[in-house]
Parts: sequence; C-alpha cells; structure tokens
Amino acid sequence: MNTVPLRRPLSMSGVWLGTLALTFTCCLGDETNWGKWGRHDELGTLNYITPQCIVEAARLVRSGRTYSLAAPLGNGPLAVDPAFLLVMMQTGQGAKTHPEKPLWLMDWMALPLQGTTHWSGLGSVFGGGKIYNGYDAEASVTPLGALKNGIQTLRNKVVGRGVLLDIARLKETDILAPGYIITPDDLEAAARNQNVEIRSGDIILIRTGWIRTFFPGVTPGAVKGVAALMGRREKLQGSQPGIGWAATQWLKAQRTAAVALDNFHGEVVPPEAEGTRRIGFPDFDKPVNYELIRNQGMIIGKLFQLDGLAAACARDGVYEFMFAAAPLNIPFATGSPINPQAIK
Amino acid sequence: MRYPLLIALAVGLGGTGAIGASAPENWGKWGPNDEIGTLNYITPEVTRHAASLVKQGRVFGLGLPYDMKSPRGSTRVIQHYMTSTAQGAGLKPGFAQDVLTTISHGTTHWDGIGHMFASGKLYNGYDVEENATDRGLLKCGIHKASDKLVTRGVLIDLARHFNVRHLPRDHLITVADMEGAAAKQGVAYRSGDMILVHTGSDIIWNEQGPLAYWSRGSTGIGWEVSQWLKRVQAAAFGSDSESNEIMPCEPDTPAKVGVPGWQLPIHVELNRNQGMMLGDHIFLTELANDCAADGIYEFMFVGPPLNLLGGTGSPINPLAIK
Repeated sequence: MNTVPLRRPLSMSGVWLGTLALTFTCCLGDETNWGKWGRHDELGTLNYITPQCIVEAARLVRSGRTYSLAAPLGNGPLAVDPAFLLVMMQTGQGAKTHPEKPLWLMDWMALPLQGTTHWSGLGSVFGGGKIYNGYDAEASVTPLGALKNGIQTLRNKVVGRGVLLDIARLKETDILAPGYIITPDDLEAAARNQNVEIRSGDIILIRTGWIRTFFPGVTPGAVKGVAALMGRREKLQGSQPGIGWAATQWLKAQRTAAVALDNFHGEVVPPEAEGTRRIGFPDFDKPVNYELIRNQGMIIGKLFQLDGLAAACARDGVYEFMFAAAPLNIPFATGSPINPQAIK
Repeated sequence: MRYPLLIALAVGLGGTGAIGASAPENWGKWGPNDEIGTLNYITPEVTRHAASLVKQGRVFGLGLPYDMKSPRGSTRVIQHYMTSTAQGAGLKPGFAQDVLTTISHGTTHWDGIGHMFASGKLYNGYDVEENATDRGLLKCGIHKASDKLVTRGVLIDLARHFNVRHLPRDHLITVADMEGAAAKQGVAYRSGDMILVHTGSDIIWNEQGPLAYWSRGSTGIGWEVSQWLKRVQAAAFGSDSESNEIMPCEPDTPAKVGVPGWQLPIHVELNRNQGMMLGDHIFLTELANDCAADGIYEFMFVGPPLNLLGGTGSPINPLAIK
C-alpha cells in the first residue's frame, strides 16, 4: 500500500505521540476509493449496484421464500448492547377491571444504532483526520451527527444480489475457532464448493457461525437458558473469527458493494498485525473496519443471523438470492439497525 | 375487480368485530395459534410474483426521517444522540456511534396486530392481561412479522384521482374511491397485496412542517373500506395520512366494531379483529410521481419491521422496487 509519512504538527500534543513516528494511509493515494465516484460521493462501493444488478437480483427469486437475517432485539440478557431498552408504555394490565383504559398497547425504545443487526455506515470510522472520500472528520462527525456520509443517504440503497459464503460449512464446523482469520482462499474455496460466482455489485454475506454462541434459543418473555447467555459481554469483546486484511483487498478486487458477517465486529478479533501495520495505526484494533469503511467506502453489516439462510442454501444448493436491507431514515446517523431480507 | 355496493353493505350489516358472542371472522382462520393474521396471504407464490414486477431496478425508500425535527405531536419526541464523535480525535483513528430514542410508533412505522385490543382480547382471542406485559407482547409481537413482508405493493393515488394536491382532512375514503382509482390506473388488486394510498397529506409535512401534519383531523378509511380490505384479501394497508383512518371517526363505527366510545375503531377492526397491520405515515410523493410518469402502479414491496421481540410496532423504512 502506498503510504506517505506525515509528521504530526508540533503544536498538537496528546497521549498518542507514539503514532507520530509512524506512517498512515495517504488520503489521496491510489489505494483508497476516495474520489472514484466524485468528490461529493457518500455512497462508496454501493455505486457498484446498477439498476441492472437489481433487475437480475429479482430474477433470482425462485421459491418465493423470505429469510430474515436479523438477530432478536430484546431486553435484559437478550440485549446485545446494554443500552437497548424496550419499555411498554401501555400494557394490558387491568384491562378487564378498567374497561375505560385506552385500547392501545405501545412501547418506547432506546436503540443503539450499532448494537444489533446493523450496517456500520461510512460516517462511523475516522482516522488521519478524515472519513471516507476525504471529508474532514472533526467537521463532519460532530455531536449533531455524521454530517457527511450519514446513513440516510442509503435509505433507498442496499438492494441487490446477495451471496452467502459459508466458511463454517467449508471448514466442516458449526463455529469457526475464535481468532480464525478468513482469507481470500477460504472465500474462493467456499464460492467454488457452493458453485456460486462472485460479481461486481454483490452484497457478500460471510458466515462464521459465531452468532450461535451469542443467541441460544430465545423466545420473547421467556429466555431459555439464561445461564447460557451470561458472560456475553466478554464474548462480544473477546476473540472471534472473521475476515482479515487480505480479505479486504479481495473484496475490493471483486468490486463488492457491501459485506456482512455474523460476528460482532465485522472482522477477526484480535486483529492481524499486518492489518494494523497497513493502515498505519499499530494500536488501532479494527483495521478491517478502517480499511473497508474509511478507505474503500464499503459499509459493513454486523451481527447478521445467517444460520437459517445457510441451512436453506445447503438444502437447495443455491447460494445467491435477492437481498434487501435499507437502513432506517435516521438523518446523520453513523449506522442503523436493519432487518435484512434474503429472498430465494 | 369490482365489488357491488350491496356486498359491502351486507358485510357491514352482518358485522364482524366483537359484537355479541361471535368472534371476528378472521380469528381462527389460520389456526388457533396464529399470530400474523392477514400476512398469511403472502404466500411464496405471492412473493415470487412480486419479484417478477422488478423491471427497471429502481428503489424508492418510503420512510420519513427519525430525528428531533420530526416529533410525533407534542408527546412523542424522537431524539438521535451521538455518543462518540471525531471531535478532539485529531489524527487518531476511532469509531463514531449513536443512539436513537423513540416510541416504536414514531414517524414511519408499522402498527403490529398486537397494537390494539378490546374486550380483554388481542387478535385471535389471546388474553390481553396475560400477554401484554411489562416484558412486551408475549403473543402477536411485531417480531413474528420479521420475515413476512415481502410482497406486491399497489399504489392507489387518490390525490391524482381527485385531481387535488391533497385530499381534504375530512375526506372519508370509500370503496368507490379505491375501485375507481384502481380502474383508472389500470391496476387490479390481488390477494396478499400491500395496499398503499397516496392522499397527498405528505404535502402538509413538506410545506408546513411536521407539527402541522400531525394536527388534529385526518383523511382516511372508515368501516366500508375496512370490510373491503377483507374482501380483497389485502395483507396490509398503509398511507401517507396522519392516521390511516378517518379522524374524527364515523359516529356509528365504534359500536359496529364493538368498542363504543373509542375513537380509533378502524385500528381495532384491522389490527385486532382482522389481524391486519397498518403502515402509518408511509410517504409516497416520489413514488406516486414516478407511477404517474410510467403508468405502472404495482411493484415489489419490502417492508419488514425490526426484529423487536414482543414489540407492538416498529420504525420502518419500507422499499418499493420497480
């Protein structure tokens, strides 16, 4: 990767002087996608999805079966992010003894926008003072929101051809080992085994199986095996399988429109040294997020529940489908919870 | 398809709803354990047909913004909070994150079938005290619909039908409106449709702001169309109006539905009695203009709720794909 050494201005001080001596990715280097779709672009690699891609994706619908890829969003031990709260404003309590009660039931929520099945948008990762397409980070990502690359710009996007690459199945396991680095060889072997071709504009879903450790059987109001859900904070932040540095370059070469994983971070944890070195921040532990979101302009889906879809694909041998997962229209948000739909 | 007024009248007089001891007609129709109601009309065949309507590869996002500029009236504030930003980071790398607080029935949203109850019962006869708890809905929660809302969408443009910018607030949408506009547009209803009505009310939002839009009174459907929706086997109904149902309601409708005194009788009739979800504040201006331009009023509709366990509704950004 083309890197340009930059000296930190002497007037700035901080705790990260160590970074000063290091290099980081040049904002205008050939390696990023900045400027590729114009200097005002806020869509990034979603530009690869042409109307023709969408028409062809719709033609993949054969059985008419729909699969939701959203993990359950619930309270307490079911919450991925402890900030999630769903509060019943009106319940049915006393309905029979108080017939004058209003006849509606309603709830209220505090919804972390990157705390369940979600897209991490192009305003969510910064570094070197920039976000995707070279917008100034401090001026753009403010307490008022991501004024550039906000998630609302994608409100009529992320519809296209989806491809599932089932790496857990490829490796003949339910769940890849913690820390397992998914490589381009894995991705290509899975595509070959599954007899599916990768095309420009695809939304690629990569299954590690990890989410199974996080959501054992759950039903609303009755959590099965609460004990099994304990220790999940550690699971979230702990070691997990995912894609590494080389895969980011493979996705770029395939002209992938968006990528999603069934883990929490959208990449392997702990990170590869190669990744942190290439982005120029050895202390930053999410180099794949940095490379894909900030440099390439590719949104990353996280916490996708791919098990049901994977089982269906294994049954019929078809790993391509129509995919639709527009974010909510939340102005200037960094991300959005979604309920992705795979339609076979 | 045209339904003689007589049929509508007969249905109206016969009544469904919780009148007397008889349960609503749709209860039990899909079995005693059903929790999705009229979404059962969306069969794989219906979804497959919907996908076949995608010819141009163009997508319309129909969701209103969720932010503090879009409060739903005086009591339903929406806030979007940044919890981390790039400010002060200098050249350091990092993540920006945020939180949304909202009622699940904020701007564009689904009213799930568990949104309304009457006579101590939810849709399909589930006991409301047992099932609408502090932990959310144990029956008919919105998550049950999480993989059920990919179907054919039909846009009925009543603003254009009447050649007005927007329907008057007191316009009661009739079966004649629904049939007449469809005939003029050259589109037929099919079982499993998501029926979207463009009343033009979104003009109020665009020109006068959200608070004017949320002001008292709403054009919408009444008893007659609620029974017609059952006849055409609609899977769900939505519009750009303030309430979907006429407000104030027709004087005799609460009694017909079995909820005397309750001012949202059509919500009870559709959500609870028929098991039909309502899509509220689905903004259709851009889609309506496009449909008028190419004369095609049918499309693939993808509008799943968030997978909120036990939720009564959900914020959405539904898609129309042509």
